Amino acid sequence: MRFANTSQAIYFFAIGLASWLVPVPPTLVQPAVAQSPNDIHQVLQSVQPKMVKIFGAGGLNRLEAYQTGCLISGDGLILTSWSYVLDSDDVAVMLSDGRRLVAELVGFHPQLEIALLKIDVAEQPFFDLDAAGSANSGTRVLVFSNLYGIATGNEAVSVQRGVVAAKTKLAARRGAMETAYQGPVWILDAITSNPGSAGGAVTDRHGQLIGLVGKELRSSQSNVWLNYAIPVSELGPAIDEVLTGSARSRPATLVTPDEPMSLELLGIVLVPNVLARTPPFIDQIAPDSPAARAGFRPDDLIIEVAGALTPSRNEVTRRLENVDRDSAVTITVQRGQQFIKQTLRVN
Amino acid sequence: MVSLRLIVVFTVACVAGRDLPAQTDADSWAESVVQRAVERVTASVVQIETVGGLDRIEGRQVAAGPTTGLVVSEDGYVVTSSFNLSQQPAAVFVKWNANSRYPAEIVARNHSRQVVLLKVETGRATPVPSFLPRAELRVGQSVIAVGKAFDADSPNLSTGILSATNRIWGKAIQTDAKISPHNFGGPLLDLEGNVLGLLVPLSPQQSDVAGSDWYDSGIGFAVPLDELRLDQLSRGQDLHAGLSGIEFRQDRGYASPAIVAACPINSPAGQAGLKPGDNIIRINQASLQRATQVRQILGPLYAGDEVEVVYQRDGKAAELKFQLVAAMPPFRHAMMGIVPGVTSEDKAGVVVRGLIPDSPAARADIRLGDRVIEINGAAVANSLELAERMITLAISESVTVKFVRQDDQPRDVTFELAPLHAEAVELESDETLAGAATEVKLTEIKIPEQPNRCFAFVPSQSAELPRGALLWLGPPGKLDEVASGKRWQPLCEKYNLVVILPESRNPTAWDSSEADFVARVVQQSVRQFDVDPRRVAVGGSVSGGVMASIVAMNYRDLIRGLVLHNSAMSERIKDVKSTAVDRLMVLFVVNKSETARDRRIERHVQQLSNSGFPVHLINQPAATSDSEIPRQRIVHWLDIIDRL
Repeated sequence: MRFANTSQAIYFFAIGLASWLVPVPPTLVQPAVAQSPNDIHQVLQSVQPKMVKIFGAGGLNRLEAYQTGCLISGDGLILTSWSYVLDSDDVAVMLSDGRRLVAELVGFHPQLEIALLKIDVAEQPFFDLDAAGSANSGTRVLVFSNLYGIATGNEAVSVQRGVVAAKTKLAARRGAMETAYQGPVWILDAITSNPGSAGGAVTDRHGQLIGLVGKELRSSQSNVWLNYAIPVSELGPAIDEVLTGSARSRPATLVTPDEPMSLELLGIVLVPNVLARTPPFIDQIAPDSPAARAGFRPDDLIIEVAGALTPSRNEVTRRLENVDRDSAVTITVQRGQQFIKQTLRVN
Repeated sequence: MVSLRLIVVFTVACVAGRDLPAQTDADSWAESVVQRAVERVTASVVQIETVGGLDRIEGRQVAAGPTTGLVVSEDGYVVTSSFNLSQQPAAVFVKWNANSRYPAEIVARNHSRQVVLLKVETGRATPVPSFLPRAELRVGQSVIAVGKAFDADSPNLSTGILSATNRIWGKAIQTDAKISPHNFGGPLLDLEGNVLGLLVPLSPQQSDVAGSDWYDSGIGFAVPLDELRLDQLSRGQDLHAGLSGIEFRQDRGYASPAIVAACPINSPAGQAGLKPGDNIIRINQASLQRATQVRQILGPLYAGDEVEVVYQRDGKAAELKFQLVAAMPPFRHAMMGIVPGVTSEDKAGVVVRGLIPDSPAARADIRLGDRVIEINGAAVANSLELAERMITLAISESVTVKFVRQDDQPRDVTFELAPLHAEAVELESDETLAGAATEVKLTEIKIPEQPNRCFAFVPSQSAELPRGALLWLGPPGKLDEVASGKRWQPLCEKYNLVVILPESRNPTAWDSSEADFVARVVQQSVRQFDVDPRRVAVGGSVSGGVMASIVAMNYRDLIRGLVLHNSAMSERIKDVKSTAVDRLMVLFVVNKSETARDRRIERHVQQLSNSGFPVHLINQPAATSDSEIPRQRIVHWLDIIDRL
């Protein structure tokens, strides 16, 4: 087989390398592909000039010094993930045509962990956030990112095809820490959680942006790596906040009351806490206590406090700490195969 | 609801695609087909929650988040993957949607397919999906994996194709859709919403969490519902994989013929009268030629199932029947007490190179240098044949051995076999015929596509001593091959032993994923240096020992000895059992430290002995440093590992 040019050769090489990567360099318009009209090809061509590769800090301790970004204005505003890669005075952006430009950090959003960069260009193709697409579970999507830094120079970023697996709220952690963003995300049926993918674009099959590829995260619920994207509907307001300078670290959504509720106030003694996930069985009930009045008994299993499942004894304590002692709290217990839900009040 | 959703999708497609070619009719059709199929089962897919339980299982962190289950009857029976309940929770709940939580009871477990049956009282008929039997599946057909791990109201999905209809010895079907804790316990659907199987993590090893490491890998498994025996489970009856007791030689891999190598007398097949040497030609009406086919036919069957076996013995076909069982006593090897020497080319038989003191052979007046030529009237040409004969015999069984001393007339002795796992055997070196001093060469072993460096110390071949090999896993990181060579070299010379020292890929730790690399090094060394395959051991210190235990237990056909120096086994090793064909002995070397490590080692010594493995323990004085390895004693233990 003879290749018309270098990028074509790289294209075929990359296809051979891994079938789940479909890098399509923008210069690849001729022979083989164009002869059999393929419409996905046109969509990719319309999206690729809107993608940029970002290079910055990192390179040590196996931390990659690169990620991906999306142009969101013709004059060079770039949406990407807020990460250590941007933590450098020397962040460079490479456009799809291979031009390398110095980028300025406009600002970042601490909750969504997104950042805006600015480069000096004019009339560059961009994603119009006002005309953004939407998705449902089952929607077919395309994912554009420079995963593993495979694309270099003017090579277009890699494209993956997938399906929206679910819409959910993010409950994930980085190391032992819960993530700051707990809002809605698309879970993707494609392996998009890769080094360098963060800041990539998720589009519908017409090339309309529907979300931004998030950073590598493990689910705190299932302990497995998540492939997810932050939906455009969440991104718009956050971008406005960054541009107007009103994006600030907000305190955690749960404000702990000064005088919280406790098991003791309710008259409940649970079984000793011996495991990481000790089941919250009631050991004793104080006479004339709120728990006694609610009819709770020893051996009842607490399964819900203030509307949330309590998988462990620690979780019961944690949930009560978020309830003011003067407020009512609903607690559900399991007795045999029966659920008993009661509203308890200290005074 | 279905049509409404379609309209939404259609509208979005029209608006969004207005200035782009109408390219994607096929995509749009595919989207709606997938969404409709999922819609059909949404009411039958449930979310499962748990309260309480363990947070680590077999050394892995297990999450406590919601998982998935599937309704299988109108009166509230639900199946799920045992992975989802592996933490042994205090309570289990089932949710059809965000606002309906029901307590669930565990009714029974299917240990063969890693499935649990739950019962929920909902007071109403629960919608049941339609199921397709395995016979109607086609490899390559489009499939959808469905879970409810994220949201009880709306399922999550992953699409792919059916990759195989017969996996894990006939138990499972396979898909390339992304299978993970997000959909374990959920259904695998076809495009019409029919259930093809229940998604489970499976692996050839049996454990609740085995196979879960492979999530999202393109290799996912599902077990067909009609093979779960839901009627039996609903009566509270636990199901186990069925065991027969038949063992085959593995040395020809998948081509091994279906000739029984061992069949303990206390196993179902042994009791029914099947004997080593019988050639199995049919099981339950299915004809077969190879040993793997026997495993494939028996694999999906359960304990209690009847099996009909047609076999050939002495050229005549015969038939027998037996019932598979859930558990079998471990195989305990019998021993005469002789250490075989190198097979001579001009004289048939097995030269006695060493004698175990006070063993049946020693007491029967067999001496060093004698040549065993027959056992129970059957000629033995070499030590391999004698070893194959020995695994067909039981402890305390009486045997008659014919042997030749120098050029005397052959003599017969009769004695009862002793157990191989008898108390620690201390053999003085003058009780074996030692080899002559030889020259040792340092060689580097290269395994294709593996970056790890690996060295071997190879003595020149001896005429008296069969060659052994010890692969030793030291501390992770770079290896000083010259210094290590000095420590092992004298032993290599004296015992005709090849010592192999690999480096870990990661400089700070041995990674369990390197087990395959280590096994390939062993395999290549055995071939390249002409090692007697019955004298091959792996061992290691501390974390290297943990790694060695993974290699030994996962490559049983390759490894005959395991040495653990100040190390317990990997926590992932469960339910290992001594077998006739893959004989394995274990040596623990322990510096008393009075720590948790000691207690774990003690537990493992006990556990392995109970599982039928011959286990020896060398206790070193408390003050011994971790870096002091009693190499002489380890190599001596290894030198008589092939005793018969």
